[in-house]
Amino acid sequence: MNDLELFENYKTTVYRYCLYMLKNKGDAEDVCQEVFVKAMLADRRELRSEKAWLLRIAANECHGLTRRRSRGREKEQEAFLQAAPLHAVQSVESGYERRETKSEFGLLLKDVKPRFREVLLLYYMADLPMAEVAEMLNLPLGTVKSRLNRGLKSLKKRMEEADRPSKKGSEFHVSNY
Amino acid sequence: MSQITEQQIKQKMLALPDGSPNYDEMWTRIRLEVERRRSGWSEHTDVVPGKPALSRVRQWTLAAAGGTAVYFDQQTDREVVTADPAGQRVNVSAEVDGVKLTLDNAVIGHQTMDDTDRMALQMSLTGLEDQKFDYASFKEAEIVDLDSGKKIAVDFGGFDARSGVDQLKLTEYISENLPTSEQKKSYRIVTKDLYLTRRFETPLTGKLAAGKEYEVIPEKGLRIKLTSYNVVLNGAKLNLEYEANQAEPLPEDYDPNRANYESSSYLIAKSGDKTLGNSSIGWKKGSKTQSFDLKSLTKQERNNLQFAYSYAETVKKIQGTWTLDFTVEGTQANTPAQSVPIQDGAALEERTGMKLSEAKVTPFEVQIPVKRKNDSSVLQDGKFMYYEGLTLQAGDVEVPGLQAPIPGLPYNPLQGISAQSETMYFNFRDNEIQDLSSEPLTLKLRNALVARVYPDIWTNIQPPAEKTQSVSETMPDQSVMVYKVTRKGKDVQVNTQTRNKFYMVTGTQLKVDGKTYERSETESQGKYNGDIGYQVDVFKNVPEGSEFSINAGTYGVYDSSRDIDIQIR
Repeated sequence: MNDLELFENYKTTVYRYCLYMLKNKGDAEDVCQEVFVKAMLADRRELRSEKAWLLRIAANECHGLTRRRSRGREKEQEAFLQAAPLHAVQSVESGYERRETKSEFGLLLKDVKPRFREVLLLYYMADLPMAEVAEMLNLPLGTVKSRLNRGLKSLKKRMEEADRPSKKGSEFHVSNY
Repeated sequence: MSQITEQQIKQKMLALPDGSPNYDEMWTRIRLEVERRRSGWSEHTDVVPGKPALSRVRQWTLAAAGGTAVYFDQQTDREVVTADPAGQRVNVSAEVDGVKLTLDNAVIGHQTMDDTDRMALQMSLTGLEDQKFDYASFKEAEIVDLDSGKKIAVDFGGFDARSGVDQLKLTEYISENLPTSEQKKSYRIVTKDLYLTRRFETPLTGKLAAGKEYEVIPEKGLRIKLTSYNVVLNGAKLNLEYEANQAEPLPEDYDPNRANYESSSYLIAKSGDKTLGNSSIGWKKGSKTQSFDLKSLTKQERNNLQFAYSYAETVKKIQGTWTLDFTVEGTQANTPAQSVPIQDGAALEERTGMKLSEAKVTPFEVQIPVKRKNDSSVLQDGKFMYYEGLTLQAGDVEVPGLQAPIPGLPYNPLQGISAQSETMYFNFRDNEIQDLSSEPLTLKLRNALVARVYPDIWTNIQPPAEKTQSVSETMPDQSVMVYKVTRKGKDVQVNTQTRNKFYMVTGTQLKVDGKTYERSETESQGKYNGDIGYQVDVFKNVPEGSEFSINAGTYGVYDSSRDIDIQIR
C-alpha cells in the first residue's frame, strides 16, 4: 500500500479516533497529520496490521498531547487551545430528532472518561480485536475487558439520561431501543 | 435495566461523524511535512551559508518502535563528483525549444538499506543557461518498459539550479522491470512541460512582534499576521507562528501529491550576511509555525535579526514533450558488489576494541561489518560506545554514515531495516553515485563516545518543590553534572544539561529515603543537541520524603584522542 492509499484507507478511522479522544477539531487534525507523517517516514514492510499500527501511533500522540496540555508545557500552543471545541453537526431538526443524531451520540461519548472512551473507540469504532487493543495500549486483556464494560455502562447510562426528558414530555414516539 | 444493546452502541460507534475535515488540505500538509523531514532538517541546523539543498530522496530516515520517529541529520552540501560514472553510459537526448534533456547513465545495483535492486537513471538538462530560476521540474513524467508496455512507478523530482544552471542534474530511481545481468531491456522516458520556478523574498519591515501584520506581496493583497513570537532557551531559539489573510502563493505546477518544501512559503531570518536556516517548520490548519536556532549568533547579531517572506513563483514555462528511448544492457549497467578487505585495522582495534570486516562496496552504498572484543550490552565504565562522526571519503566525495546497532544503547535507529549485526553504513545519493571500483576509500572516525558509569555517586538534593533547585556534581572523570529538579504534582522532573559534553544513555535515577526510582521511559526525553542540549527525566508518583539524591546513570563523554583515519583501499 503506498502512502496515498494508506491515507485514503485509514484517514477517517484515525481522524475520528483523534477527534473523539481530543474533543477538538484543530488538535485532531494536527495529531492525525502527525500520525500519517510518522507512518510515511517509517518502514512498513513488516507490519501485520496497518490500521492497528496507525492507531497505536495515534494513541501515543493523543496521550502525549493530553499529557503536555495538562501540564501546561506547550505555552506556544496556548492560542491553539482556544480553538473551537467539537461542535455537534449544525441542525434545525426538532429536539427529539436532534437528540437522535449521530453527533448527539458523539457528544455523549466525549463525556465518557478517556481511558474508557479509548477502548470503546478502538474496539467498536475501529473494529480492532480485543487482544490487539490490549497489546496496543500495553494493558492486560482483563483490564481492557473491564474498561470496555465500564465504558459501555457509562455510555448506556448517558444515553438513557439523555433520552429521559423526551420520554416524559415529548409528543414524539420515543424509543427505538 | 438498560434496553440499549451492545450491538446498538457498536452501530452508533461505527457511524460516528468526523465533522468533514478538509482531508485534501490535510494530505497536502502531510506531504509537505514529510518532505521537510526527509530533506534532513532537524532541530540542530546551524547558520547556513546559502540555501538548504533540495533532496527528495529518503535517506535513512527510519522509524523506531512505538510510533516514534528518529531522524538523522543529513549533510546537505555535497561535493560535485569528478570520478568516472558508474554503470552504463547511455547518452540519449531529446530537445524542445533549445532545452535538452539527456539520460547520461543507468546504474543497477542492490541497496541493502531497502533490500531492493534498483536502477539509477542519471539525467542532465541544458539550454537554460540564460534563464534565472532556482528549480526546474516537469509537469508530467513517466517511464515505460517498452518490452511489456508497463508504466513504471516513478516520482520525478526537480532539477536544482541554485548552484548554477550549468550543472542541472537529476537522478531518478526505478526498482521494477529491471534487466538481469544477462538481459537487455528497452525503456521510454516521456516528460511534458517544463516549469522554471524561482524563489522571491520580501523583507518584513520593522521589528517583529506578535499581533502585528505585514504586507508581503502588495500587488496580490497578501498580508501575514504574526500570531506568536517567542525567544526561548535564554535567547538561543526563536519560535514564531503566522497566519496569512489568503492562500499563500504557489508555483503554477504545484501538485499536492508532489508537494515539496521548496514550493511552499515561509519566513527566513538574516543577520548581516548570515542567513539563518529554519530549524523546524510546521504546517497547521490555517497557520504555520517556524523555529530558528539562534545559538551561533552573537548578542548583537540576535538584536539585528531581519526577516523576510520567501515564496516560490513560476517564472517560465517551456511547453512540449521530451521523449527518450533507450536500452539498458544488464552486463554494463549492473555493478556487482565488491568485497574489500580492510588491512589497516590494528590501530582502531587498539583504541576501541572494534574490528572491521571486509567492506562491501556497491555504487549505492558501502557497508562495513563491525565486530567487538566485548559486545556485551552492559556498558561498563570506560567502555568505548561508538564514534559520533563517521565519514567515508570515497574518491572525491565525503559521505556521512551511521553505525548500528550499538551494544548497550537503548535504541537501534535501524530497527526494522536490515541491521542484524553491527555495521557501519554509508550511502551515496543521486549525483554521488560513481564507479568506486578503483577509487581510494578512507574511513574517518571522529568524536568517540566513552561510557561513564558511577553507580555510587549520588548527589544530595533538597526535597523537590515547585520552585526549581539547581545542584551540580563534579564526577570522578571531572565531568560537571548540573541537575535542575522540580516537583510537578506527584511527579519529579530532573533536567540535566548535556550541551556538547554528554550523551545520556540510561538517564538519571532518583533515590527517596533509600528507595530508588527509575525514570518514565515514555515521558523522558532528550531535547536539542549542541550548546543548548539537555535531558529531561520524569519520575512518576514520587512520594514526599526527607532524603533525596540523584545518580547520573550511564552517560557518554567525548574522547578526541581516539580520532582515527583508516585507509580501506
